[in-house]
Amino acid sequence: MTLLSIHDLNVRFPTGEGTVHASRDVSFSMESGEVLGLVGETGSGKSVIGQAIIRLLPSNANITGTIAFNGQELTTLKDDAMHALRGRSISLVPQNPSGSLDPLLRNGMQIGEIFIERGTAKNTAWEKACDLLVTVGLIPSEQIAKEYPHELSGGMRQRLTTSIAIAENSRLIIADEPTKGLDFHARETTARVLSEIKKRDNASLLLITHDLYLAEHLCDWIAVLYAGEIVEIGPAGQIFNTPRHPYTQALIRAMPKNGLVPLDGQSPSLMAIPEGCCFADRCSCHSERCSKEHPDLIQESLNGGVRCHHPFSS
Amino acid sequence: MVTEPLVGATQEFVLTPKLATSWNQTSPTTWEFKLRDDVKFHNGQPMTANEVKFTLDRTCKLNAASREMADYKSSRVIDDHTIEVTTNTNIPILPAILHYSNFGIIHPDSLNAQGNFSIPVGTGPMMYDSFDQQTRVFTVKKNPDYWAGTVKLDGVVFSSVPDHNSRTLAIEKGDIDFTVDLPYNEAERIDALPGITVEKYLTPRVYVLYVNFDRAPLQDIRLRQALSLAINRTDIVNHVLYGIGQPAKGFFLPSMSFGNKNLEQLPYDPVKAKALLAEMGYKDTNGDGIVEKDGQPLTINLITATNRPALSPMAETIGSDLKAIGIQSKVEVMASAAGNDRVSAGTYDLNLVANNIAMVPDPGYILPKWFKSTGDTNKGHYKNATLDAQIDDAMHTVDDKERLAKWNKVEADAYDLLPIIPVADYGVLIVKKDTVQGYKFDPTAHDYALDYEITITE
Amino acid sequence: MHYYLIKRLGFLVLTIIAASALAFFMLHAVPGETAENVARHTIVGMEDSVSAEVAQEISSKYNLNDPIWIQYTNWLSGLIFRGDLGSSYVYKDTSVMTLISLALGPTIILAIASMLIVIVVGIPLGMYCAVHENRPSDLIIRGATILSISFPSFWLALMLILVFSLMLNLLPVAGYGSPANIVLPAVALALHPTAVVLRIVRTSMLETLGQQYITFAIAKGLSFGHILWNHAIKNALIPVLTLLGVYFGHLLAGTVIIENIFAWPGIGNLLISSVDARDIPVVTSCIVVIVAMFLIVNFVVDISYHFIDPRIRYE
Ligand SMILES: Nc1ncnc2c1ncn2[C@@H]1O[C@H](COP(=O)(O)OP(=O)(O)OP(=O)(O)O)[C@@H](O)[C@H]1O
Ligand SMILES: [Mg+2]
Repeated sequence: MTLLSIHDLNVRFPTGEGTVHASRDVSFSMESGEVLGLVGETGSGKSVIGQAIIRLLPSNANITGTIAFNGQELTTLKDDAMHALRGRSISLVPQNPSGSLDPLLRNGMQIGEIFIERGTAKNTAWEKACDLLVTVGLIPSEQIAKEYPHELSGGMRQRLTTSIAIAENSRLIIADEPTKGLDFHARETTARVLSEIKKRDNASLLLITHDLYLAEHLCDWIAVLYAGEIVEIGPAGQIFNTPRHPYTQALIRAMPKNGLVPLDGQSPSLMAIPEGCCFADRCSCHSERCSKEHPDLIQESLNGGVRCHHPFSS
Repeated sequence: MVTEPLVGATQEFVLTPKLATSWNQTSPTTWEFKLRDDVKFHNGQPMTANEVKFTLDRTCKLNAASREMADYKSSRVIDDHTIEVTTNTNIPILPAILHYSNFGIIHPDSLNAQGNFSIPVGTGPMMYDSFDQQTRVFTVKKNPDYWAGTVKLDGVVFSSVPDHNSRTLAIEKGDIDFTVDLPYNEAERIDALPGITVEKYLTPRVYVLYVNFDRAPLQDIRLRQALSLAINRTDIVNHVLYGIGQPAKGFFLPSMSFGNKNLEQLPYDPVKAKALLAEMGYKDTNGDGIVEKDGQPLTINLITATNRPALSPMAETIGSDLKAIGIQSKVEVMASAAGNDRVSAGTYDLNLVANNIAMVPDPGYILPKWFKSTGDTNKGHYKNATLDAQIDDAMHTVDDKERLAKWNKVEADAYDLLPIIPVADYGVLIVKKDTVQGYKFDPTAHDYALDYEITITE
Repeated sequence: MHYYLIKRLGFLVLTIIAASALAFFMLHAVPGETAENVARHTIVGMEDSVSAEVAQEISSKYNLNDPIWIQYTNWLSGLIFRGDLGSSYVYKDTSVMTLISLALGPTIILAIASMLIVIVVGIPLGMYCAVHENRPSDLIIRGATILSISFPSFWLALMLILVFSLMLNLLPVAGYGSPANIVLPAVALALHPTAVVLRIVRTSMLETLGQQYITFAIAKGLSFGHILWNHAIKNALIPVLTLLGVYFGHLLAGTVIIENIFAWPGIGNLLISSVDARDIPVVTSCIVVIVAMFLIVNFVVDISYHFIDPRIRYE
């Protein structure tokens, strides 16, 4: 059953210097229990999509398009109805765990307050919080629960925020770079936790990441973002084995296991989107048409397509 | 108001009987005072010579100013209502000195077991009620048994409100009935308020310029005359004092019976002042408006203190008056302690002060202090053997009329010699609600005093 | 922590001693003879001139002829060994301890009353403005704070008297004793700090509301009220605490102008009148008390950070 379906999502931020068009015509859908990975370089608009879903974009953001969650349209949902979804049906692992934890609250409370606010007794909430800490591998949990965020390492904070996101049985977990700053071992733990949660609750996971290794292992679907738009989307295996967009190829070549080949150049400014293909400047096989005509996403199936005038064929 | 002295004084500073009915000097160093026999202390005890002796002994032991003025030796109880006071030297103005508020007669009950003053038990129209050490609020209540008449007020509460604006607002609101000392420029506005009257009075205090005789060429009488001629006293009173006060006419207030009535206000004549400077050899040779002699400009350093509000603007005005006749004046305003230091060091030419002239209602109080070469207040070190001799003679003249004539001569001579240059008489403001009736200003009291006939109507 | 406390307390004591020495020696350096000044202020009839004998008498009574450092050591040893601050030159035979304890009560009461106003008005209104950023109510309140900051306190005090005493006839003009007396001076003193605290709270609150942990708290599904109470307010108040400490310290030092206007018998009035009369033991002791209170308040604030902000730990 389709849990999340995004259609033609556009997000614009009016700023002093011009309008930042951070998300352009983004469409994809997710079934219950599936994992979709959003990959792309810094500034490509991954987090903006996640925040648009959970509706945490700043108030000046201009959003068009539709986001249907479990049949409910989120973009027009009343504030209190949206509020009721957050943390219960849709939860978030924030991108910056250090800034996302209240420095004055004990680690246990950062989790426990969720339960307390919903009427759980204080000590029960505390126990539940400790259990969650164990789940994400923060041991000894009793002690860590009593400490404060500043006493944790970056990786521990990352896992703490993950544990918060899985505190309730959310249908959709938006994990914004949950493995950033983690060592190999911790990454494994987080990956395992996320996939276990997915299995346990039949939850869907929107995995926003730079970590293509994690994406390859965890995702059913991959959407590659470039300059705010999806340039390629498809089943994970297909994307990693037979990438069709030159940018996807470049990303995969840049993976450590493939020899860390860097991609030169910069993505265009989101305030002045080029007329033609956004990637044209950096593309090794661009034609004249690429600089003039904006390529459409050639939709081969619901979650399958590539935005390129000259895609590699499989 | 709680205690009263042996000797009273009229508005004209003439001595009158108070707790003593009469007095006379029985020898150069002894005085006999006859006391009233109908006076009771607030504790119900009759007032006798014993309490008077007790008071005089105690005051002269504790208060240096009193001891020095009275040159007190001892006193002897002759009978219940007669006392003999002995001084070390001949002090013809002893009765006047005993008018002074320090000599208010108290009962020994005023002291606590340790011999320290605790509450005043006097004979006055009001008796001690309470004193709050913290807020310094002092309350007195009516003495039902007052010897001089019926006291009309039930009591008075004295509270200290240091800020003049608050005092004004408090009387406007009706929190208080009576207050003193407003900024001069506020007098008219407050007086115009309904239900409140502001009255102006002169107090025995004058604004004078002390002259430093250790500095040349101030020894030259022509320069002192020029300085005096340069000062526009009328303007100062009108514009600096807002009409509260009056241009000096002699060294005493016009109301004081013992002042020399022939003395006129010192003239304002800048042309004549300039002529005197020219006579001394001071001319403006370089055209800068300042007179010079031997290439040196004539400079006068005028200092004054901040302790009385009018001193600083008055000093500035005098400074510009002096400039107008070609004297380079340098005016410095400072805290009074700093001013005292400058005076001790002798680093000034003129010092503008407001000096009390009749703490004791007699010319023998201030004239020797000012003009005798050994006088306490002769900080400018003026020396004049003739004047010294005249003062000594006056001080020890026993006959009242004769002595007064001698003092008048001393005052007139000093007025010519200008060892001190008088400027203006000091004015004060009394602010009261219209419901306060029967108030009489007592210029002879050192502080503001309320008379027993004062009352508040509804 | 214990080591830290001992160190801080030691520093506190040294600062107090240094302040007393400074006050003592500075007063002696100020122009004017001490004995002469005391005489002018205490002996009726000596306002205009003081005779040498009297000055000498006062000097020997209070050992003013000793070298200054001996006078100071005598005073200090009295304080340290006997807890005695000496006796006043001006208020004859009254111990300085008595004078100060009489003045300290009113000052402390006034300081606490003003501080309560600052806290009860400044903090909630600052929060309110932050939550209603740029709405008319925010603009009006901020406009009012600008007024209260830019007018001098004596003027505001007089306006308060004018309105609440004279026009509305609700409160007495000046005085001490009844509860009604404290209202106007406390408000007059509180206006300025309230305005500053309000603005700082607002800024701090806005900054806090923009923090990621607030956004994340929303993502957690917490209610706005819960977020405000449990996250925003606590964090926003941390920088305000120091400011409150400084203001409280200032208020405890007594406020000459306001005490003067409202005839409030506090330490500011005592200090000023004693400086005037060169009542050195009283002035020095007042300064010691003021410095001590200031340091203690700030010490308490510092220590309270230890309990409020887990990131701060004193070792
Ligand atoms: N509130 C905002 N106002 C203006 N521009 C914004 C705002 N939020 C995001 N952007 C812009 O939108 C673009 C996409 O931002 P986003 O945070 O989604 O990137 P990202 O792909 O998550 O990058 P990273 O990997 O660094 O997290 C960026 O260029 C960013 O500058
Ligand atoms: Mg991001």
